[in-house]
Amino acid sequence: MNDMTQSNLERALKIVGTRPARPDGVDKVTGRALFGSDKSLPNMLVGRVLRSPYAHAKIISIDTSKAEALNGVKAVITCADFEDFPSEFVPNGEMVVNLKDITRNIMAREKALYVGHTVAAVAATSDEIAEKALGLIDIKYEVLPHVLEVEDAERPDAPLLHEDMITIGVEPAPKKASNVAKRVEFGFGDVEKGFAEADLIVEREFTTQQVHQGYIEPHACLASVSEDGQADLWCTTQGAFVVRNFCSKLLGLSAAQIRVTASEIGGGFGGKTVVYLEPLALALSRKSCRPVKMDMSRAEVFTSSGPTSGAKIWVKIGVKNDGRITAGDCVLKYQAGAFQGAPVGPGAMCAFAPYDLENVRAVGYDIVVNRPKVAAYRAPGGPISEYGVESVLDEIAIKLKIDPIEIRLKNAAKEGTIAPYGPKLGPIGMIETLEAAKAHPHYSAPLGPNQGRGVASGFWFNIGGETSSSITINEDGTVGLTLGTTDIGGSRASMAMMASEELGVPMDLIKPVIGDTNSLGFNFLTGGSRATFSTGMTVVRSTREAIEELRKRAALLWEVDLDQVEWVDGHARLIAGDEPKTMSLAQIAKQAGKTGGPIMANCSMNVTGAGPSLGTHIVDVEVDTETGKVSIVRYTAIQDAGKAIHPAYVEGQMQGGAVQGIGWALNEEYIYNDKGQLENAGFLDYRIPVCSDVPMIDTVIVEVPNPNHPYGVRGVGETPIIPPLAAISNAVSRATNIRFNELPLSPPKVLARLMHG
Amino acid sequence: MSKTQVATCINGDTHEFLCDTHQTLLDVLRHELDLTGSKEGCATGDCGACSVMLDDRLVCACLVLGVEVDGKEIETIEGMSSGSGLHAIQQKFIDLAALQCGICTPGVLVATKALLTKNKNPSEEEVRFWLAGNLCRCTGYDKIVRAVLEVAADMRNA
Amino acid sequence: MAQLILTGSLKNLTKGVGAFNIQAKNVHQLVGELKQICPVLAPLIESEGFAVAIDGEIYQDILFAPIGENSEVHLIPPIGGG
Ligand code: FES
Ligand code: FES
Repeated sequence: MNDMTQSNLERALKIVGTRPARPDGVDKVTGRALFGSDKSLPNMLVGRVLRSPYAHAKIISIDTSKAEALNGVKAVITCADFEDFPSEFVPNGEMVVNLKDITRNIMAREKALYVGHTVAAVAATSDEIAEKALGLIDIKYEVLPHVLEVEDAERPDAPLLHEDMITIGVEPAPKKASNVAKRVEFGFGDVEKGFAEADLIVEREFTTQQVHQGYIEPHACLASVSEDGQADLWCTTQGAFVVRNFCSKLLGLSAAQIRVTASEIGGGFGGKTVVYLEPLALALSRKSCRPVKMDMSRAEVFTSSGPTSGAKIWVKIGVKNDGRITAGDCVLKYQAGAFQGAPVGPGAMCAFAPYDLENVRAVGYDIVVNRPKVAAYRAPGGPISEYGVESVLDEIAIKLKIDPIEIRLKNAAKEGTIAPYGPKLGPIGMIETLEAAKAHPHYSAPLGPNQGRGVASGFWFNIGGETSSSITINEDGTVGLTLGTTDIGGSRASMAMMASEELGVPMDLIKPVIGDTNSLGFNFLTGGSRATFSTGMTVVRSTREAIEELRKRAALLWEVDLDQVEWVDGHARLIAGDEPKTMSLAQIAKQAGKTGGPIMANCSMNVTGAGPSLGTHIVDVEVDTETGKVSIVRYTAIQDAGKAIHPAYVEGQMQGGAVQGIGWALNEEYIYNDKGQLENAGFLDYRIPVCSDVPMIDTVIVEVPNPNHPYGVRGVGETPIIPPLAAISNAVSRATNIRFNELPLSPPKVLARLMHG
Repeated sequence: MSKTQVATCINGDTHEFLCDTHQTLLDVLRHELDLTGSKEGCATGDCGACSVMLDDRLVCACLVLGVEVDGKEIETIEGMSSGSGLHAIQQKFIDLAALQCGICTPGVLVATKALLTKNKNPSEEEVRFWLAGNLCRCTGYDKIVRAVLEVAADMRNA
Repeated sequence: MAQLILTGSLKNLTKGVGAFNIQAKNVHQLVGELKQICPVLAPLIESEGFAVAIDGEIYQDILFAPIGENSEVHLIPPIGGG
């Protein structure tokens, strides 16, 4: 911990930790804020996509001539308009991506691999013409057998999605291709020995279904490529720079040729970290030399953008009679969708991460199936694996007659614990969240008939990554901040707050904006709970640099050495001398031109030192024994935020994540028919929680500071979606005395178990 | 296809436009009149992001045809704040952080105003059921419901 | 002397060897050293963008993160997020 950090953590904070109005609030409540599909350009065309009706089919031929001949059609594109790439992993920010797969996901080449897979796209002068043109594209398919579930996909006789896929991570490498892309393993100790020492062993299988992030704003973009190859792209994304890099590679344009501006974003939760429409719109615009706007319908969002994996998992835990875990073992099989890349690695890494274990193993398989390629969804991979572990732990607690919080306390990870993925953990708040849960009045409140109370914890790493931001001091004493991470839920507010805290000027003098890809150095996307942590780090550093410059200017004007000037509450102050002499930021700014020029500072760095965030949730459910319907009666989410910069938005992340978890646990699932078509591609049938489905979500913010951040920030966005799955399943199991091991706990499934055990 | 001429009053101003018979009111607002404050989350009446008032009735603009609004009065989110500043509901949503991404917010605000016109003292349950047609994926609804209850109380005491 | 500790899949790759003594003073040097002492691991860091944990602190794609005299170094997959 450096001195600056120390002094910040100890000094009294004026702005950080309060709840000011967000800078973009008025735009958002008046309808002024421009989201992905809210922008238009003169002479603009409409782009539409033709999608595969088959779950698995060879593309024999594509004839676009009739569509091209239609009056009003200005461009038609297929895979022939995109360069192919060899199978090779290349970095894009902190992501490692395989361009061979990405170019095939945005536009099918040899085969269509899921219903909804893009096979062609058109740009036309109107929606109607574009629609008509899609109908004129003639594609000959050879339909192949498809596979949707991991247990079918791994059979030796399963239809192969990729004929050349050899499982990575198995020694010796298999000779035969399969749908298993990868095997990973984490852990240490000797699980067999641990199980031999156990007094009780519980071993269970669990199933979870594919679920979608369900952002309310569909994917949308507006691309304009001019005759000289200069491209402007406006789109809804969690990372403008990441989009720029994807598109420049896919289209063979240089990074300097593409300027990406992120629109306001109507939710992402991980789903807007990859590209779908953006390269298509650019290609259509390049071909037609006119601006092209594209957006997805809700049905397209469900069938063709990335949800997260459905999975089959197996968990085995051994304990002593006192509840101390002797060994934990799990096998995770996650659906990747049509291309490899299920979040099974992080799932395996965090499965047992809330606990301090001597013998632990987590094995994961990344398995391709004929479903859309998964994308990140809040704490990717974590909710599924931790659901299994937290459920088994609850069953053990019941069997041993130990309180579920006590059994967790007994095994809780703390500073110095070796994480299941190897390294030692720094300070973390697992014990603190458990203690807060135990002390919460919710935990001791009486339950009614048919009600049950469930508890579960969750762990997420949090990340740092490449980040760049800048600060300018205007000559009237106001301040501009340019940030490179998309503001998805109030980060402009927390950045302005940190700058305000550092500078000692009111927050309303600070104007934060999100810059385009030309205004800053590379920024990795908003995701992994990194924005407040990483961008906050660069904002604090650049603000401190600006303060240094302000002090220098004051020293010049006073004709003293720099060390004679300190910065206090928005003013330079002369340290020596009898007369207290001060100069305000505005006074210094006014003379900036005469004292050396405009004052600005920027900070670009690859941020490290993110601290994991732990959470514990308590939920009361009531089970209707007639219908099998589960109602959430009371909910409390407790989480270690490190430091809450703007507590209202931290609570908001916790509440929103908890309710997404409630949806995952109770209702949400992709339902396919035997042709591999999604049967519930709309909000009516894919039912996310509505306002009347949930109670108030009580929150408790625990603050165990992250020593690596000037204010102790950890990042909070991912963790809250993890505990609800097991907490709810545990509550239903306790309410009914039946162990549930399948999600979602929808009424028919619960009723069937109530009737048949 | 011939277009139909439609005359309507939107947020107090008269508007005349030509519209295809299959065009929805949401299409007309967003694409013909550049009133992009009403959002499209589904176009099938399931998300409420397109909520507007049509002659004092709360409707999903994606379920109304443009030609249907001839001679009617429409109020959208763009008409909620008056010249003198934000409506109390809008201010309360900002103050209580009842929005994160803000895509659902226009619809939620229009629906809330409609509720509070009919029912000045709604219970939490009434708020939850009234807003059940307005999906929000970010907030978990907690702060939205609190903002509605609080602003209702403020407006009663005003 | 600093140690590279391997667990899980990585230990399988090295046929069960769980630790290597290393001289490297930073991640950049570690990549070079791995080519000598454990060639199967080198491509992982280079192409798959493995992250490195040094004494518990995770460094993703940071070549010049310092490795101390007695540091414990782990290789872990890169972590993204939603
Ligand atoms: S867009 Fe009208 S209800 Fe969703
Ligand atoms: S604030 Fe994002 S959907 Fe409601």
